[in-house]
Amino acid sequence: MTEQGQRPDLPARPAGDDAEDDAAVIRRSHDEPEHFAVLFRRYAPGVQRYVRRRLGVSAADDVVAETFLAAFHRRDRYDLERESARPWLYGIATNLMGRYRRSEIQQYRMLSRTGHDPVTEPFTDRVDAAVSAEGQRGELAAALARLPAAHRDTLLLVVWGDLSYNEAATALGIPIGTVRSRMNRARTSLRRSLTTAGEPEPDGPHREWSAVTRVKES
Amino acid sequence: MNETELLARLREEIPFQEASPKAERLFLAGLEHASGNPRITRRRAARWRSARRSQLTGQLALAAGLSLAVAASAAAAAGLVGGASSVVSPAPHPGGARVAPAVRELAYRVAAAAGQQPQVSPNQWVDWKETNLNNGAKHNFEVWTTADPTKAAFVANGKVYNINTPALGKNQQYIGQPQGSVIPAEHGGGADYSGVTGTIPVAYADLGSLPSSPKALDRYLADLKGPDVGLDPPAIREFNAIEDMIISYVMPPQLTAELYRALGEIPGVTADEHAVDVAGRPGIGFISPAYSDGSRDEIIVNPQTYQFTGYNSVENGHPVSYGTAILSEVPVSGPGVQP
Repeated sequence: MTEQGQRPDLPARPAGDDAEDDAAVIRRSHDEPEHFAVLFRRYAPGVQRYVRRRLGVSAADDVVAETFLAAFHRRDRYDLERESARPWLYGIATNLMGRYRRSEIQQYRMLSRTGHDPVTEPFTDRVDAAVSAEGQRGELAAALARLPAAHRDTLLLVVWGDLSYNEAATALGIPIGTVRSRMNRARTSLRRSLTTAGEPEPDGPHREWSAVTRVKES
Repeated sequence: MNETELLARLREEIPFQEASPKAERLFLAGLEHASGNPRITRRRAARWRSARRSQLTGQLALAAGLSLAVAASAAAAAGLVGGASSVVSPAPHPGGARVAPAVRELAYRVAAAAGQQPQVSPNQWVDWKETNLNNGAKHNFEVWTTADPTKAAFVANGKVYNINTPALGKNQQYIGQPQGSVIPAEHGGGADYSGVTGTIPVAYADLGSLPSSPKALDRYLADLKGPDVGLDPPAIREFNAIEDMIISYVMPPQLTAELYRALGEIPGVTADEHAVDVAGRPGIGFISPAYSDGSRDEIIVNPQTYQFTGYNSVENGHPVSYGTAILSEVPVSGPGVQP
């Protein structure tokens, strides 16, 4: 959940772009529409990575472009009190991805059934980083596919989009309490899927079951 | 490792990279259209690319006209463009661009415009005013249809007549809009309808199940089977299916946008920046690959707004003899109601 600028691999910005926060960029874009492109430069790489993980490379190109174009068309409604447009942009991207829900779920199911991850195919040299978790990737993918859409969106905004709970609440237009609730439910659901796959839950019901048994015996 | 850490591992498999050239190009094309100032957008793109020392110089030279875009793409491919601020001279454009990126560029611009249209429900009535050219004879008419064209009506002598679309038979429907006319009493009275009929391979009710990515949508359309789907090559079948939907249905804007994007991915589709509809209005056209008899179909959009304005059938070496120009297409509250 790092802010842009703290990532070591972020490319250097052209001089002049650093001075403005996002609200200032948007304000200026009312008179100079082309200035909105500064937001694309700042946030497109992150949005792209988030969308690519969910939908794959090909669909991500369309969604990324549409996200920033939709944001441009809605900039009149942007709350200029918010200095960072990041939650707003990720919220738009998440909303646009709703059209691709079926194909997103199909990709998780493919990963679950076959072990083949079509999303990472263009980046196969990086898959080695996940080898140690190979066996559980399938269960995780299956669990993701089973999540209610709202829970999945919230979870992935936080974990893959690096948004804080507050930012996710802003992105989705929901109270932060709802974000917490959805995160708890989503994580519980994923945890249960992984536990069923064979890994014991460290602080789970086994101890409670043992305690109940002892009470009954006495 | 807990579930969140495992989930984060999946994200790490996707590298953090600069926005793809395609996403950048699509965004800049849309920004240009939305801001209405191509020169400003092009300057911004050039300075931006120069600052990033990108290898994309010249690839995104968005010009005011398609001919410039075609020349820029060709020059970049040939390595002739030396820097971000290079100026590319317009190339001759005889009415059919062969370079796919220009068609795709047009398709995405039209899609961006289509995606901004208001939502529409299937039973929304729409008032159409059209000019139809058939065998050289031109005729203006007005008709009302629902967005999903299950209902249609026309007005004659102040009276609304329903056009009986179910009477066409199973799986048959009007392609484009039907025309209605009243039969004189001395000839029996009643109403008569005419129009191109056939089967659109994707029913309106099934539009939501279409694949959303352009290439997947094209493959899906090419694989459709049905009474009107013949033995034409896949590219023709894809173009036909999209054309039939665009000219017959009033669709949710995102679906219309997806269809236009898919249009731009069909091999052999060319762009015509000198298109003229049968009402004599200039436009930009998507021209289909050639049919077996050498003829081609053309979907025409307004060159400024990119709104759909008509369609023609162009015979090999002959002027247009069949076509329809959409003079206006306006949602209304019911059949016979004027906007």
